[in-house]
Amino acid sequence: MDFSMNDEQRMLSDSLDRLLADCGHSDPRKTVTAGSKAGGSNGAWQALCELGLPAMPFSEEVGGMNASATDMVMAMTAFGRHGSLEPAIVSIFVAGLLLREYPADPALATLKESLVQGDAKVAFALAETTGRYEPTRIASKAERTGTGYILSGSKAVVLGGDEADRFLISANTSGDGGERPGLSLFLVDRSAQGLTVINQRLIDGRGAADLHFSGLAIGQDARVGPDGRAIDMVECINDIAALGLAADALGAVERINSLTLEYLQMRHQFGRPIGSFQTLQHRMVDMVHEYEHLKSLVYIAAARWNSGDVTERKRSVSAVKRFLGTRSRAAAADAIQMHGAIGMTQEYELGRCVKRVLVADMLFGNADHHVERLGALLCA
Amino acid sequence: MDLSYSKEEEAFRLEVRLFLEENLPDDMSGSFRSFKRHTHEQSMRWHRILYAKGWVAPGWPEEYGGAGWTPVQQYIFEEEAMLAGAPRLRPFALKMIGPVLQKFGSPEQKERFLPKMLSGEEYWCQGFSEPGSGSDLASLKTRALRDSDGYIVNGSKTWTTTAQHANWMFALVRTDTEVKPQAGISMLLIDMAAPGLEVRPIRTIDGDHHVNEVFFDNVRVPADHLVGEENRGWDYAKFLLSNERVSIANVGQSKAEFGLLLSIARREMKNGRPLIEDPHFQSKLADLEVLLIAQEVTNLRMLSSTQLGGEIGALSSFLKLRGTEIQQRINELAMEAAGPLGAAWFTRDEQDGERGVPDYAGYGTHGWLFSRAFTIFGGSSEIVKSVAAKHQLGL
Repeated sequence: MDFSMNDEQRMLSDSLDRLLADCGHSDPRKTVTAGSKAGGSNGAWQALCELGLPAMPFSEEVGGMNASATDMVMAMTAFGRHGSLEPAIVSIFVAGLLLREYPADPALATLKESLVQGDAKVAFALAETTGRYEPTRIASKAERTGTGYILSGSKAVVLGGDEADRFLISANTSGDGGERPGLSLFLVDRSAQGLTVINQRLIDGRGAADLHFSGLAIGQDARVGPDGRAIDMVECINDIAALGLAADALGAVERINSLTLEYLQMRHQFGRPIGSFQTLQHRMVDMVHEYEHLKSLVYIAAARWNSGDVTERKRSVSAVKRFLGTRSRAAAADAIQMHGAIGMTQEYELGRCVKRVLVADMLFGNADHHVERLGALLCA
Repeated sequence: MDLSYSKEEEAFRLEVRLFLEENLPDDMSGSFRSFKRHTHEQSMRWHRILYAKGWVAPGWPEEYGGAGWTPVQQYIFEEEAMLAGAPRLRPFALKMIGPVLQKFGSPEQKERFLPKMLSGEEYWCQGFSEPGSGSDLASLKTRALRDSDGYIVNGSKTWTTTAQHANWMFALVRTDTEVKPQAGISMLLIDMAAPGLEVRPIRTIDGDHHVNEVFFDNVRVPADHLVGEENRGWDYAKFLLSNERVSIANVGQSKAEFGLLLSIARREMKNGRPLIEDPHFQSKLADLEVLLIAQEVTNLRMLSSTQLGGEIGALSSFLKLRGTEIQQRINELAMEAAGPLGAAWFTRDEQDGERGVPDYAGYGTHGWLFSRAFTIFGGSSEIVKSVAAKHQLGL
């Protein structure tokens, strides 16, 4: 057993830290709000490609690094630590691990070459304006035709959708939603006729998109996974994405804690540092302990992912997401409280880190969704 | 002990309800029902409507143009107004500096300022916090030097809510540096249009512009704009902060926002059923309901005791602490209720409807972010608890 980073992991983590710090996303003055240009305009993505990050999850024969989920989780943490706006979670972490899980899928295989190089970005369009976190409760439909399918429906809050070239869209090929059979997945080009992509910002500045599609004709070969039986693949995507968000949030929490500790030492009131007051000391200690537990849950979820045991994967992903949406969210709120009014300002970095934790809770199953799944697994 | 409202109080409630039905503009109740926070313009328009009715300052004595209502009547009005979706009136003139001038102001100050506070012609902001003086307010450094014409003010204030709209500021300034900090502070009434005064906006994490920095560069303040006596400002500030009783518990607003939360939970579907029927979410709502009932009754206990001439005592700080916690929790559950849709950025102007998402999608997230301030401003929860431990419990 060894929980420390190996040399390769440390080297990668250091390189990423330098790269992401240079690309300046942690500069709070560059905070983006509604409607402004997405990340990726400052050369960060290009630099990430040169570092070989998109190749991480792929095998050595195709020019990849054959990285484990643990290696990748450590990389994702750096994105949260630096408040990066690059769509690494979906386009590198989720896309890469998904292709590794389903190496035989012909539609996914078409993505491999461009993903290894970082030439293509993929986003996962699963959630809709109703249905919350139940992957089958969707209104999008795929009607079979002689040569393929016609898609109609809409998707909401597609993480990384603002920059994506391709979308993996879930739709029902039969039934009215709510049942496990009937769910299918399709790989659709951003430029496809009948698809409208509306870019949006998330609260933490990361990019996303809403999709609207009708009469969107695609060929048979654009279907990913078996017709009507894509639920396992969709659940797999949700779990990888949940783990990616949790790893990213671990980095954000690390930053929240260092900002807060620094502030407690620097800010003076009543003639002494506010960190000398016991009520704040105890809370700061609590925050550090919450961080350590989050870290352990992220690491074990990554290790379980490597093991390939589906039930163990679900259990550990749900555990970390539950923890994140309850205890880490509360600790993030505490960090604002301990800062006082300065923690409320848009210009100061803290707020964006806190929002990143909120987003990590809200997408791909929130704390309640995951505690219910964990509970169901206990009964099974 | 009688925990029910009197016949007169019930009659008063009906009168208020009737007035609200006839006079609350549709756009204001509409903003509330469609999960939009009221604008400053709406708040001031509502102020003028209440002024015309004579109800804008329910707690002021009648000699100053107040309604002269009892604390319980004031509470009833606030509860009904909030439930109907009326904007909250800004507290700075009506609940803060107004009562201070009534008690400590000169006859000229009362005549000059009170009528325009009532009419809403002049809008006020509060100049207390400074960059280096938040919780430790007494350490404030903005300096007012006396000369033959009055005062020359230099320094800065921060977190000044709605200073961008204000005509006047009541400010705490340092007039004596030789004595202990509390004993060298005075309260001045400062014209926001005075030369040398500059307001700069501060954006908060909810994306809005609520607060500002205010800079003073040799700003001249006439001597007759000093409140009461020089170097007694700390006493007036304490009076100002302790004066708030009726709405400190935020019961009316919390009940109204809880109603909004329930309406979200009725509309949002989870696993094919309304979220409000989900046992897990339901128990969170019910826990909140328990706190709301307890808070409402505790608030009425305090109000009835002050009405009978008792001291506000320890309950008022407890009501503030618990009231802000309840508001934060309501917003938190509203955020959870919106599910993944709550992650998207929101603005007040952008109609969520155009995106095809429900109108409540961003409401809870915005509220979660903004309501962080409730346990920070007007005395952070930590300071309120320390004061309570020292002065109420003798620890």
